[in-house]
Amino acid sequence: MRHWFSRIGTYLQTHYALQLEYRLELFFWVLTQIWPLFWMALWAKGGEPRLGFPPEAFLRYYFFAWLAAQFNTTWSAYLLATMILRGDLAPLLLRPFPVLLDLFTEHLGTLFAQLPLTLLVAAAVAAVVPEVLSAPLAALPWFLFFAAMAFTFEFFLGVLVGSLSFWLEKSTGLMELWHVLRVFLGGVAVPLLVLPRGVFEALFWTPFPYFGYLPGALFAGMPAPLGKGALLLSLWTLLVMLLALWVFRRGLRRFSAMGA
Amino acid sequence: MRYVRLLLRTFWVRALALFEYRLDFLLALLVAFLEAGGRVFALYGALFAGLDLGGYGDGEALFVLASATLLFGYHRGVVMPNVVALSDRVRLGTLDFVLLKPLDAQVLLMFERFELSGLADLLAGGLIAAVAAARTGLGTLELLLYLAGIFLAALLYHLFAFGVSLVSFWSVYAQNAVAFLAGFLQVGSFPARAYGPALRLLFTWVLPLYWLTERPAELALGRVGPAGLFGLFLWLLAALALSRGLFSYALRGYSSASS
Repeated sequence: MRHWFSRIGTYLQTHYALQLEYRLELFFWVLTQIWPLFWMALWAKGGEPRLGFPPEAFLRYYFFAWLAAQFNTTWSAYLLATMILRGDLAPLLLRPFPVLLDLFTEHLGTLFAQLPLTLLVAAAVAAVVPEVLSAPLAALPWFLFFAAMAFTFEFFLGVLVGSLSFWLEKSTGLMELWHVLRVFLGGVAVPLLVLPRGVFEALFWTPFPYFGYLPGALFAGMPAPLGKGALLLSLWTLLVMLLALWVFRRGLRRFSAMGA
Repeated sequence: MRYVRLLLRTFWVRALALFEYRLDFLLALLVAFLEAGGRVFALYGALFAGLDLGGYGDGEALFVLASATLLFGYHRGVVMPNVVALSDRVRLGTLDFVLLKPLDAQVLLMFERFELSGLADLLAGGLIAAVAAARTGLGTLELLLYLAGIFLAALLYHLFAFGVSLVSFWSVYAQNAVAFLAGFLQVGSFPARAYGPALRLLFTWVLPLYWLTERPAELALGRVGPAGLFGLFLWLLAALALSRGLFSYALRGYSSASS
């Protein structure tokens, strides 16, 4: 067990160091995600009180929905698809370290390298709109739980989609579909409160609102079914994880690398 | 018999390959329509919440949204493939081949590649523009002006993106920097005036977001006459001069593959 910890630690360090090399790229990547913060400016002007929340609530909503989305930028689908199609997977399979764990530590390493840059942007936003900081701190553990779960979910969804490349030549388009749905149905772009009641409630059975709406609503004081959400997202994550592992294993069986 | 089987097999593989890419295009179409739908949802959500979009009603605001979606199509179909090609060329040293050609290198680099999936966004944007036109009642002159405005806006965006993509001369990879620029198209789905006075100034004089998405809409709505194209034209000239200057500056730092 200790052996494994040190191995994982080494992989983490390596991937972190590798990612630091691309910190300018990472910073640009963080910047590509900031456009919802401009929509925040739009909502912060306030309109008719039809939704029943003051403008500050929308400031906090957008800020924390954006922050939550920073925790689940995963490339597993693209990396895995490329590895499979080009045969780079073969040498990784020879290593006495599971490929998926390698991929997971790579994502964690990227996350650690990216977080300070994200916090830099967050600090800049907080300097312009200090209202975002007056959020209830008690919500922080929930926020972190949903962030971690969403990260895991999206990582395994990426593994699932990427593994389809064992059969298909192009599968990563599905990931783009997921990203669009996550941004709009997930509430990163628009507070989901504007949806009709029935649609809004039905959405909570899907994984989407846990990627933006719930973390945002937590701090904004909007309706947030925490217990139910935690349970449902955990179940979704488990489902996607099992499915991804199953598809990956089946794919490995028919994988013939270069030269085989 | 063996040949027949081989032929059938080959035919089947070809058909599958074709089908696979068609599926890819269908998926791109789905993504583009969902993304456009998401923007429409955001617009109506904002209107439902009673936000002031600078006095724009839904029909007028849809024109702005259509501009942004059309530009997204241009981004995906023309701008991004060429940005990727440029940074690949810088990394591999194959930029030399372009520089050696007896044609203008910047033009060659800006229009080297096209991606079919951009058509999907163009289609979605066209559809939104058609709805907006039906809601506001558009004349032929306004339609022509709108198309001219979008054309100039696309070129302006492309020149900006080209300037930003020159980052690849220093950092090996420019896709994210240009994707950052594309994020502003998302911001431009709403009229610049909706963002309040401070941001509106920024979007008019520093980042020409107003000129990219709202000005074409104003042309379509008849709020500015044909003279409204003039400002866009000026921006275009400035961007052209700036990008050419940046390009020659970047080339000075470029050491080709062999040197």
